[in-house]
Amino acid sequence: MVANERGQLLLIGGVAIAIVVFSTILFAHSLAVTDGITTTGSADTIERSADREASVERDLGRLAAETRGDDLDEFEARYENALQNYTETHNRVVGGSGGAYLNATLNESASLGNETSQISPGEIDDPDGGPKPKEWVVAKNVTRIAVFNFTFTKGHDSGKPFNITVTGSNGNWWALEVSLNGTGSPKNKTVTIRDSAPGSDIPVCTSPNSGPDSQDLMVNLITGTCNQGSGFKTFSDVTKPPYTINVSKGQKADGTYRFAAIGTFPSTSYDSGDTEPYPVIPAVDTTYDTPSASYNRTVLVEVDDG
Amino acid sequence: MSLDRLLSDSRGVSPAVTQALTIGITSLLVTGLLIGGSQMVDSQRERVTEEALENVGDGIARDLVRLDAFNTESLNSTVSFRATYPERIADQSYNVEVSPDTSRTRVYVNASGLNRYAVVRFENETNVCPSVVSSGPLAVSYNATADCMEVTRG
Repeated sequence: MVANERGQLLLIGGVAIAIVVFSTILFAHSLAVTDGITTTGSADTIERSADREASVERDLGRLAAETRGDDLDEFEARYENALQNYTETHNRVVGGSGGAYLNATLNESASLGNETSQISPGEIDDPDGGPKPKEWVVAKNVTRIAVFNFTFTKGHDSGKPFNITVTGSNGNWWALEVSLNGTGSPKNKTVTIRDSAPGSDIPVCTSPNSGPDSQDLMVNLITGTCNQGSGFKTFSDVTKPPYTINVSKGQKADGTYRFAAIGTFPSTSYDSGDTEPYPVIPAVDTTYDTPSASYNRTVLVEVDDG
Repeated sequence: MSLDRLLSDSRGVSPAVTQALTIGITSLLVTGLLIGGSQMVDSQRERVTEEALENVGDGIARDLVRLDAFNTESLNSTVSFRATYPERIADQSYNVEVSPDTSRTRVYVNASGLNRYAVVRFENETNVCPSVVSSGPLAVSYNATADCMEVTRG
């Protein structure tokens, strides 16, 4: 009887030891195989950086629109100054809280766009000063226009008037003419708009050609406005980019003009120095210093006019 | 000696024999448990290793896909994003190999000590430079000089 009880005790003890050993092995193993298998990828960090950049780029676009405004002169210098102020504000607000620092400067050479202009009033002259008739291709393959202003101080002959034509990729065209009309003296210089639709001639603004009542006709071809008349249908309403822009009979009107766009300014119309860069789409060098990464990139800023 | 007498005879049956039999049975039980347990542990180790390797491969692929979408074309400088990956999986180190392919980039995570590996493929636009790194903290980088993405030691 004593021997049987001892045997049961050994049996139960052995099983208990086996269970303990077995459990210990499992536990130790689970510790070994699960130790540190968690990963912390950088995808979220990259996402946050991309979001931060998108926010900054939206700001830069809005900043460019506000800086450009209606004052087209010295845009580069004013935008550079605005970028400096923006950088300081950004770093004070965002850098102080999130440790993300930004430096943004205008990169004029990487910006897209060129400008041609006639600053001194006189016969509308072609850029390279060729002989009359003053007819030239202003630009081809124009995808975006930032500035397209004419100021007409005087009109001349009405037989074959000054004409600027914008032809779109869809084959439609749009034209602006400056002619003289009226019976009295002085006659009136009149801006007329027409397009490829038959019977579309519409006088949009007029003023005496000379005398004390004479006013310069200042026309913005992008917005379709004239200071001596009402708004008018502009080229973007009837044509589609890319545009080809031609001037004919430049000598039939006096005034000034300024045109800035992204496109081809053909060498047949321009000599070296006749055009100069204008940041229709400004390029901004941005440098980001964040806790996770430091890098720089050149951003083409979509000017947000909305 | 008749059979009845043999069966009823209890002489020679000592407590020592009883104990030997008990110890033997107990040993058999313990051995069975250990063998069964070790097999279970091995299968668990393999499963966990494979899952962990896939986890690492997925993480690196995800990081590279995000970096690919980070508009690398306009970057003027090299940029790196660090990530924490385990030094060891199932107590074994491993290697990460990223290699471009004609169709899709391949991330190959290999734990040679365990004879286990995981392969993850993904499509990308930015070029990928072939790179091999050992386990531990890693970084996905855009190398502006070589114009490619790569995986480096973090």
